[in-house]
Parts: sequence; structure tokens; C-alpha cells
Amino acid sequence: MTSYFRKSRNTELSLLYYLETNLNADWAGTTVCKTFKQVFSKDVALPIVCVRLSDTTSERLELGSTTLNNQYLLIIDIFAKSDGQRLDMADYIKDKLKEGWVHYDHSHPSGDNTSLSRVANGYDTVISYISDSKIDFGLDSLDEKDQYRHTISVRVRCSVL
Amino acid sequence: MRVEVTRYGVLPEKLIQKVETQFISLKDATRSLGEATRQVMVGAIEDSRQRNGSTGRLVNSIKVYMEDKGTVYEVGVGKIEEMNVLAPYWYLVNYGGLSGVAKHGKSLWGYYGTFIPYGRPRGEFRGLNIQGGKGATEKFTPMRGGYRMTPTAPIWPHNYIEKAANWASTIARVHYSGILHKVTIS
Repeated sequence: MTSYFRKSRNTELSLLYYLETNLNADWAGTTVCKTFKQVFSKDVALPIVCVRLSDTTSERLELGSTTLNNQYLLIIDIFAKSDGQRLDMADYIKDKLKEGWVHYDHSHPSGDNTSLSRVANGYDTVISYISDSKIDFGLDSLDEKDQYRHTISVRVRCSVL
Repeated sequence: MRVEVTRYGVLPEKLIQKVETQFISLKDATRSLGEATRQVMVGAIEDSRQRNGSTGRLVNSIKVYMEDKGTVYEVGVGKIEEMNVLAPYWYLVNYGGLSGVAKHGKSLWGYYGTFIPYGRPRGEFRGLNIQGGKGATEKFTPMRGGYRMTPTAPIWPHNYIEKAANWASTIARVHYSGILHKVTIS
């Protein structure tokens, strides 16, 4: 029996897959993950990109319809080795985001967390750029992974509702 | 020869009056949008709260500020200088991270509630020796007669600022479209 993921989860995983594929090709050694627990794990080295779906806003697509027009707030946290890398990586990711990416429907056999299947179904595009800023704690003694951080948050919509 | 002059359209004084009336509506709309944005930000903080016993310091430090500069009207939610004093951990709570915290530095003074003497101490550890225990060796570092705690688990990001900004940018278009009227010059 197969478990299919729902829209929000598919949106998050589609962006994660898109960035992972591109970063593996253009920026070797970058880890892409979904949670801060993974980011700060001792087994994971810099640079790291963390992709998270934070919020979903819903409104009716049109009068007389119950179809929802969902828009997703996706937050991308960059943990870099240096300030220069932080800036370059932020620009690189924004360039990739503006192109949009394929939306995949994900699934896996029930009870099996190791394998993931994906089928292309639509296209995700950025509706609005909410923030693109450096995270600066302003302290000298910081954890290595908190030293050169950047955050990009975007609102995204899928072409298939 | 007869010349007839007919004036059409809106008198300049009337036009100025129309624009000023609309500006007052826009000011009211902007003020209410600012207050609603604060509510959304507060909601995002409270919905993502991890522990009980909150004092509400962070929520109370976020206020709405309005400034009327004549032809420019500004509304802001949260003032960094004020929040740095009232709730200096606002930054870490929003963006998350491993480095603690409150006012400064990587570590903070740990405490465990009520102090119980002669037994396993559960109070502040200042001036006391910690004997044994995994937590004592990994998390507590002797410093100036007391002990400071270095977080080993990251504070996860709440992103209440991004959530509020996302909401405000979504709602602003709809919010203002109902207020703006065309000012016609004919």
C-alpha cells in the first residue's frame, strides 16, 4: 500500500529537491535539510541550506467555488562558512527561485521511510519575496553555524490547485 | 463677435478637498492595518510557544507606532531599539539558533526552580559545586563561583516577523482596494 503526501508537504519537498539538485551540481558539499535539528547536528558540516514551509494562507479561488487558492510561505535559511559565501549563496538561491520549479507529488510505501517516489504535477512559482536579509546576532562568541547566516522567505503558489 | 467661455471639470479647491478626504481614509486604513498586523504577529508568537509559564514580555514589547508627517503617514509594528531593551531575545526567538541568548553571549545562567539544600540541588547553581551527572559535565561550566549553561539543543525559529509580513502583504491589496476611489479630472 502506498502513502501519498498532501499538497503542503509536496510543496516543501519539491523546493527542497529543486535546491538540492542545483546545489549538488553548482555548489558541491552543501547539505540541504528540513529542520534546525538536522542543521545543528554534529554530523552535518557547513555550508547548509534549510528549507521549511512555515505558513499557508487560504482564500476562495472564485465566487461559487469551494476550491481554495493556497499560498505557502517558504523560508530558506542559509548557514555559510564565510560572509562572502553567504552573499553568493543567497544571490544564487534567489536566481534559482525566480525561475520557478517543478511541483512533485511524493509518495512512499506504507511503513517505509527510506524510499520516496515523485511524480511531476504542476509548477511552483514565487508570488512575492517577503524577506532577504542577513541574520546578525551581533555577538563575538557564536556557534560556528550561527556566524554567517542568511534568510530568504517567499510566498509561493502551485499551478495545480 | 461674441466669445463664450465655459468652464468644465472640478475646481482646484474641490480637487484638493477630494484628495485630502481620500488621504484621511487611507490614514485610517493604514492605522487599522498596522494594528491588525500586530495581532497577527502576537498570534504567531503565542501559537508557536514551546513552554508554559510565559511572562508575555515579548508580546508586550511589540507595539504599533504611528507618525503623521503631513503628506506622509507612517505606521510601524515593533521598534528594534525598544525590543532590544524589553525583550532582547526577540531576535533569537524569531530566527532560531544554537547561540544563547537573552542579553548577551553564548551561555546563560541555568536554574531549576526551587533550591533544596543538602539534597540534589534544584535551585540556582551559583557558588555550589555540581557533583557528577551528565548534564553537569556537558552543559554546566564553572565560572566565577557559579555555573553557566551552554545550550546543546537549538532554539527553533518561530519566524513571527516573516509570518506577519507575509500576512500584511497578502491583505494590503485587498484592504486598500476597497478604499481607494478614482479621482477624475474632466
